[in-house]
Amino acid sequence: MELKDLQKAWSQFSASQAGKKELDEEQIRTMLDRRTKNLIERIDRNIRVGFVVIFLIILVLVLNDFILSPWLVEGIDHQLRIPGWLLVLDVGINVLIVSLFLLFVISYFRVRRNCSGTCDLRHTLLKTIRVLNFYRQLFALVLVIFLLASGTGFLVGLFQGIHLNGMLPVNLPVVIAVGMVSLLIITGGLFFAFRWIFRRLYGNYLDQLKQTLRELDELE
Amino acid sequence: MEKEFLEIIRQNQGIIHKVCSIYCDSEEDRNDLFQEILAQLWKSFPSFRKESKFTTWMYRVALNTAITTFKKSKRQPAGSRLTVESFQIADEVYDPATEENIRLLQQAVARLSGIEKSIILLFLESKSYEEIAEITGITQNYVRVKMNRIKKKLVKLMNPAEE
Repeated sequence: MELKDLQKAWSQFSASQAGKKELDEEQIRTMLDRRTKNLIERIDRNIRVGFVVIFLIILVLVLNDFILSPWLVEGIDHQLRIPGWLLVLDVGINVLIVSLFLLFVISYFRVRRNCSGTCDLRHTLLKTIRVLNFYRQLFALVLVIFLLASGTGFLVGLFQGIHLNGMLPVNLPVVIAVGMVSLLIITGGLFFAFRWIFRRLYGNYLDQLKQTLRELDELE
Repeated sequence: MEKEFLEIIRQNQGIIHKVCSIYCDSEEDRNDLFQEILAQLWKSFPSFRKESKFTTWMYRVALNTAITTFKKSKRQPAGSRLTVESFQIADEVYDPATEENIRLLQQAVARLSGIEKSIILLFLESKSYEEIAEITGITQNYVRVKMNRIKKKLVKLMNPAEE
């Protein structure tokens, strides 16, 4: 069979299909009104909601570190003074968390702004892949914040414990090691659980997009 | 703007139907993709700057949407849901040879990749290499090389006895 025969057959077929399914303006409007959000739009909404939630978590962490905790400690023991190195570490961790968050938000909105539906295929593919990757990284960001905040919280708590309850210094290295290893195990477990869920939900789709991009890059 | 959009889409809706026919093998998927393309066109319409023809812009948005849309995983392998109705053409142009060609073409196209489908669709629509390059945003050289490969692949798929 020649390709010219195919062109002829296709033109008859497509004309026949278009004739059978022709919609008027009202039907087109109804279709537009009834449409639900697609996957990328839903992910975009989830990422924005995620930003708000993370912002609130950071706000609570900062308020806890600089207002609530000092006020509570003051109420328990007037003599208790948090050492300078721990304060510097706490402030540094908070600055790091806020910077990571801002960097993430700015990068995301730059990707979103980068390209509309009228971009060429390569840019549309790149944008879709990046949005999906941001969604995955959002969970990693939450875990990093959890790890950093819990780590400093653990150290501050430990210091208060030593001061208030007179914990034996001989146990200190073991307590720190056990605490840190437990934190790493919890965070690592959550990280792999999130990764597994993400792959189950969007792994094939992401692979398919990457495969298409590779095909596009093959000869360029 | 909405009135203008609806009117222009009504006139050119054949493009969306063609893209859906090439990319989907069931009526349900075709309807979903039709709706999705329509929504993307409406969303992108304000950015249409009339630098290119409306149909070129419409093909671009429709093909980008068809290639990047998330498809729910199916139990059946690709192509297995092609039905008799998929290949039927209107009575007035009915010709058994044409219908057989269409059946073979759709079965072969179902085995092409997303990019290959877009290039073959534009070829079947008698678009020049220049237009295909403009719509897909890839270079003319790439289109030429890819087109030759697709032609060979299609001929092989449609004439397995010749192998």
